[in-house]
Amino acid sequence: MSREDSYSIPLGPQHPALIEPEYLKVHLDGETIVDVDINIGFMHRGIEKALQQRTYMHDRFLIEKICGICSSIHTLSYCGAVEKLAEVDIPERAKYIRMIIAELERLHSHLLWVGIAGYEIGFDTVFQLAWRDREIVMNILEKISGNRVSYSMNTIGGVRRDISKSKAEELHKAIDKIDARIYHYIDVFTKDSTIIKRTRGTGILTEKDAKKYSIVGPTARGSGIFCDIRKDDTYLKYSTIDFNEITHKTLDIESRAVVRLKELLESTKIIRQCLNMMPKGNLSVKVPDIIPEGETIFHAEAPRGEILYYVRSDGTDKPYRVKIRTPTLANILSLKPMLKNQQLADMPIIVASIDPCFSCTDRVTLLDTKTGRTKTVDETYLKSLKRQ
Amino acid sequence: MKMLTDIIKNIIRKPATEKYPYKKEPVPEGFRGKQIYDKEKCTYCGLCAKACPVHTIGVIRDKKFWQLDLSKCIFCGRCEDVCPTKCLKMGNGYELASHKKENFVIK
Repeated sequence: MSREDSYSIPLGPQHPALIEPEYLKVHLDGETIVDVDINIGFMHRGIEKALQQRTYMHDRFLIEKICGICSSIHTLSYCGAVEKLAEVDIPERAKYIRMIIAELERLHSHLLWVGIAGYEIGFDTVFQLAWRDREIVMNILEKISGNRVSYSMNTIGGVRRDISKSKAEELHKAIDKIDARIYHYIDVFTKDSTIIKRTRGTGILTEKDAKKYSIVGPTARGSGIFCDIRKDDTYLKYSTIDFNEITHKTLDIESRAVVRLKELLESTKIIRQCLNMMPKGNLSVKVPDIIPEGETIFHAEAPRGEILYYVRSDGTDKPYRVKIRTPTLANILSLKPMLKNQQLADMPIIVASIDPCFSCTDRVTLLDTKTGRTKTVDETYLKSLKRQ
Repeated sequence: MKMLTDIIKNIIRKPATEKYPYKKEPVPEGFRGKQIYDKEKCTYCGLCAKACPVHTIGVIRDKKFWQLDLSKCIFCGRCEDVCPTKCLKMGNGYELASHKKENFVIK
């Protein structure tokens, strides 16, 4: 059936199946999805403009509020970019502490996803238990940083708090506890018949499609593509650490779930190594308020995929431009090939399988095509715009 | 059926949640809560006001005036970091809901 003959229903901007406001227009043939239109831009908050009006240090606290789940990786990337511009090398100990917090964040983000996945397929026991286990990570993060969500650990020039010996011991214990639970969840997601019936064979994203749409993070690794910024373009001290890049080749939702869960075992491995390798020393170095003129990018591996920061300085104490590209903006396109020829009832879990974070994503306002006609923008059109 | 073992264990396990208003979990050491301000030690230098990312601290040096509006505060702890005399500390208070505006102001 062609797209024109199909029956279309709007999903969103406010819809119980979607956690955050996004608009997906689904074209249906009976219960089967023929095509889907993705419209983003309902959570535009003007963060990038606000960043230009504050000083570098004040920006650091605003950036933390972009995403509630990955608040550490945002500040890590921003601070990394500003330090690159100021040509400052942060102390070794600070690098290891940054890595520990980033990996702890990955632990709680992926455990949250396990819960969401259980919830979306109607298996609330998984949801409740995964979130209970996530509390172990949240509590240890609160003990280290002083807050459950906004850790405020990274600052321009280093980190703000130390991980003392007693806290390191507690961290070791918490990770051991988490490890046992992760093995259990891997067992559940690969052997439980209820979960397998919903996840195996649904939401297929082929390697070719994933490459075509430039998918990043665990979504791409679930399609068998090796892409991890920690390995490809290593930052901080990841090059000195022994860990594996996890991929899985069944291409479906189960594949993405297994990638995420196995990645957690690697994360705990990284944390253990960091705690052992951490040298003694200073936590931060002083960075002047005025950052020299120049532009730079910094990318890092967020729990959901690659995050990219572009910072341009004009030689004042405020950035001239900060551009942020979050992993969901790259991954949201993968919904189109994933949803095609799937049942409508599978849609919530397929959308959730990319671990979307829409409040992260929306920093671009898109033009609304009210007439329903599609417009192809070619090179000559772009050039004519430039002339105006 | 893999979850079944977990479900059966849960019957005898004690609840994971706390009965919050009746039983309060103690906050960890180094928690960033309601600030504790020591007026005696303060030199009204204004560094905290300059460092605050949400501009919630007001300082007038000549009048020896210092004020923090908790309703705007994001509890980042930056004021504590920059304070030269350590007269400002992040405390343990977190139950800050109130009907009166005066309760949000630390002087």
